[in-house]
Amino acid sequence: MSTTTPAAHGGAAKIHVETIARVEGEGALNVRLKGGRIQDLRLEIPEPPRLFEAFLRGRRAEEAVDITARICGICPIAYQMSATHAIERAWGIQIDPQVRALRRLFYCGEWIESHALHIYFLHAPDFLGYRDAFEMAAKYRPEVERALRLKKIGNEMMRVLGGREIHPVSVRVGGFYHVPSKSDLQPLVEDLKWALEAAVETARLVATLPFPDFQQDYEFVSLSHPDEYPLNEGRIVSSRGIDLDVSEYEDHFLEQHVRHSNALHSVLRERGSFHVGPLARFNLNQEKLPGVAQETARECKLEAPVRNPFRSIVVRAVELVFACAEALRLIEQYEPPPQAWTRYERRAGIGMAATEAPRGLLFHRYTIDENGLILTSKIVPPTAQNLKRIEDDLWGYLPQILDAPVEEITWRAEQAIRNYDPCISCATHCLKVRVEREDDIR
Amino acid sequence: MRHALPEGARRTRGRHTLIVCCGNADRGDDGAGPACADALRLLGAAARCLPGDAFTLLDAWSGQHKVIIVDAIMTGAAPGTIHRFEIKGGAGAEQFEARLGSSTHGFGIAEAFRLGRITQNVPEEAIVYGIEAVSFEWGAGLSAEVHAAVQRLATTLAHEAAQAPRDSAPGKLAAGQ
Repeated sequence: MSTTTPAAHGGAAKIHVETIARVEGEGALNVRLKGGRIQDLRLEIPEPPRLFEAFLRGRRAEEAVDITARICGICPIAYQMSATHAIERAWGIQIDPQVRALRRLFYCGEWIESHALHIYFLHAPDFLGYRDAFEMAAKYRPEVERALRLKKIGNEMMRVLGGREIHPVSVRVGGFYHVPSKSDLQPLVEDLKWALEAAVETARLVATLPFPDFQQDYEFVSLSHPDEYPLNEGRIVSSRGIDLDVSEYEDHFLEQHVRHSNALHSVLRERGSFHVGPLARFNLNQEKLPGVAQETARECKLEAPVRNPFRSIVVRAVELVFACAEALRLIEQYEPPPQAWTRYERRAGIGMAATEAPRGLLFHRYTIDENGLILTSKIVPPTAQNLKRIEDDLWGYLPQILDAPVEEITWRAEQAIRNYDPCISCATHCLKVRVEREDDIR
Repeated sequence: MRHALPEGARRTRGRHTLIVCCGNADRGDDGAGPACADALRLLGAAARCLPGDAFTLLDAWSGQHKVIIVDAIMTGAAPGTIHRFEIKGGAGAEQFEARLGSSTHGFGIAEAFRLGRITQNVPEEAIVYGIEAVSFEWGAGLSAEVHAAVQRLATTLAHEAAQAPRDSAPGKLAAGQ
């Protein structure tokens, strides 16, 4: 490893992280340093836009549920949930309470699968000094086996409820095409009991990781429901007093195009960047976590507001505990609804909805004509909402470590980006990180 | 804490051969795997079609004695070239990994072998057939070279399946695989 530091060159260096590994998709980070200060910092997203919003135009509104699920292979349920809820709001459809519970259970499966993947395979190696999870697995075999089984249990929930693990096919406007019987869900119970225990162990493990001393004064934004930890519905709230119906989202949140990114940057109209995801959900809804998750959070010394983004790995583990406990509760209380889906009339309207994807708030809006065809749509994924915030974190964090060798700065920059579990495929695609010293390229 | 892998997952499923075809049919020559699975079915041999990510592969081959994997590959060889890699007890995956480079499946076949070796979940015998691709363009079909290679490989695999002793024939795994 090079031991050359930017300070050794009068504080001049260019940091270009060409390929940010262990994120979904691809992108690049460019940092230019001069005189020991950051002159420029850009999280570049060069992948072309995916144009989902454009090719939804003219499609039947019901098709949005399956089309938007294709935006992401890790969180397709999030897209299905936000799409179907938005269309149901446009058409005034009231879903059966058991359908609602089943959707929540379905979403828990996605959280378990996604959080287990990120904690163990994408983020933990950063803290433990390994190049990747496979290198880490040699020393942490039981933990990696635990991760594999947790992920498999999440996938199995998605298969049982959605027909298949990736891009499930059971969700429809008004409910599900098919709902499981009580006995269909029973085989999940033993696995989920194990998963709950494993999730608590996961939280205990990641709570012991070394965390950089870094805090930011974030504006946290998440859904909030009076009785539940946020998942599939609620008002949009923030740590600085926002309290909105989802239909008011676009009055306050703005998408901006920046030259270096084909993913739009979301900002609060009045205040700039904000933070969505596990930290935001936890900080704004901690008291609604089930007892076992609250107890785990206490044991891990997590107390809202958590402002160190590196500790998001611990919060994610607490949410893993929540998802397992919530799934067990939902299965225990489940009674199959009399009808798998509620009948409805198509009509002209505008529907908006937001749900909590594993990575944070996912907003959808559809304008639908009298024939039930989509006129316009808007999809704001959590990663697009966090992109500017990630850049702001790097502006704040990198000056703390500029005395380190360039390789370490690169590593830490990637780790800071992975705090957000960014899904560039959702935000458009891809991520890369490259470090170059200014003197090297002269 | 109980063992992470349930008892069932640690039991061997038998000495039969599993054929796994990996890829995305909507992505040009990445559809080589799915096309091979279709061709094998028409020829009376069973194959399992998977996206090709490490986690589903590990799950699919858990307890399996012998596995044949078919996937698209890009090494710079002539389009349609069929590469063959033998991996015994996980050994030999490095040469395959070096040739394969990065995967279109995120954590892909090479990572499945790496992780499988560590967690002692690799088939005793694995053969990976990599079909040299021309393009992974979205929405494009198979190139002519890859289409021809798929047919050749499927015919060979189906013939081998028909010749294999009954307890190791790939076709035996049709149901539920």
